Amino acid sequence: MKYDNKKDISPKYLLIVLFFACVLMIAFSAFNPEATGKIRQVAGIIITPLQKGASSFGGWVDESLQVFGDTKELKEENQEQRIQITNLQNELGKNEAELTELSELRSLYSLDEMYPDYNKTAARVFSVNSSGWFDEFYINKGMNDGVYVDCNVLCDQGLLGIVIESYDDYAKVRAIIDDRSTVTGEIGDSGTICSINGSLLNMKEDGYLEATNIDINAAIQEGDRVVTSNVSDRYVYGITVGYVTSISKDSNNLTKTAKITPVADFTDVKDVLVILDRKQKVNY
Amino acid sequence: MRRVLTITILILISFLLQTVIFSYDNLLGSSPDFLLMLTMSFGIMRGRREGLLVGFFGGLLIDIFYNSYLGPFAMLYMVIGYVNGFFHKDYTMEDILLPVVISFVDSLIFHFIVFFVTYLMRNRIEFGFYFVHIIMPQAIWTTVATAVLYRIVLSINRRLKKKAKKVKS
Repeated sequence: MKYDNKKDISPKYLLIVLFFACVLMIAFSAFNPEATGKIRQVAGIIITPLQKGASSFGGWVDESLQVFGDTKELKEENQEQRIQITNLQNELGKNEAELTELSELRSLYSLDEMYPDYNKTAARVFSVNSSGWFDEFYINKGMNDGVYVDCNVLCDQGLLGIVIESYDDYAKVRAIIDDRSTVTGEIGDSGTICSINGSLLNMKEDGYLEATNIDINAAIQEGDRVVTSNVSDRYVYGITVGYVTSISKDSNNLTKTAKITPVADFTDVKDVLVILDRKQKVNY
Repeated sequence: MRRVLTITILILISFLLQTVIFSYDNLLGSSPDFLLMLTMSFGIMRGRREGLLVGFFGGLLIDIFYNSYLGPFAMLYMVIGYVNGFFHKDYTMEDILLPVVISFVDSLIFHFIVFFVTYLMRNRIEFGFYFVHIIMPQAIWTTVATAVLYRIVLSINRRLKKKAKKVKS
């Protein structure tokens, strides 16, 4: 392509100018997170409706592809589920009876607030980071629905992530499997504190989260439930993260490392629950 | 004007395709990098200038939505678009091998730089693992997307050229 030197800037100079523009932008956004948030918000006004529209189109395609599934399989599944329902109903009756007993005993121990009922709201995922390096996604609830930064996000009754940016009617969530994420957790009945690190390597290899800094003498075993800890800064107490799959001693002979299979299914996050209650902040 | 509008729409469509449709409700999957493909296509078809502009705005869009800072991806895509513009000399309309090869090399370089800055700097040194599990799938995806979609971008470009000629004459 020939350039009209009078009209167009030479690509070389354009490159240099835009290069410095990029450097300036990086510096600006590093030092002014609030102003950057405003820029993101303005861009979001135009783009997010498009993303939401495209997402519902994707959902429609997904659903219409499922229609072609095997009907025989569906019938068998239906049969199985009917049996399951009757079993579950029986169990439910039994559990209700036990629940009354439990609440009586709990009130005796005054443990009412041990597992508080959090206020939740349902949200839909409409856009996912595609780079392959980071696990962040957008949900279609924002500050108008009470979703603020540091709200915890659940999926399949397990911890999925935390809101890191919130705008008027959408919010950005970082999944716990993201390489930069850390959760303080408790393992099993003993409540051993550990820090659960998201790791792309472990996740891609065999789908594990890594719990590090467990005391070497801690009484934990495979199959123990891992929940978010009381002492966590940003995660509310008592949300299941996953189950311990394997334990290994560290080379320093002071700590153990455990592999944790997460409860949430990260390959199928369509609808998520957002806990509206946030962790109480303490200013030291 | 028509060209600017068309390219804006193409960038938006690519962005939506890669962040919404192809990564639909899956946090662990990878999606072809349509924006990289678009940057590369315009770099080859129209030269350095348009390559770097398409790359800049496409990268900025990703920065705004998915990066903690504004600018790094814009810079990366821009440089890729500019360098791809040097292949404009060898460009012929029928040749599809050149864009396919370039897009493969592009995404390898792109992901290597991302790995270097965001992972290696945080002491994640298992390059072999990340190469096999993240960089290669992404590069292959992008190459496949280029092989399939390059002709569509090409015909859009051809139509724009025809319109521009008609307006002139």
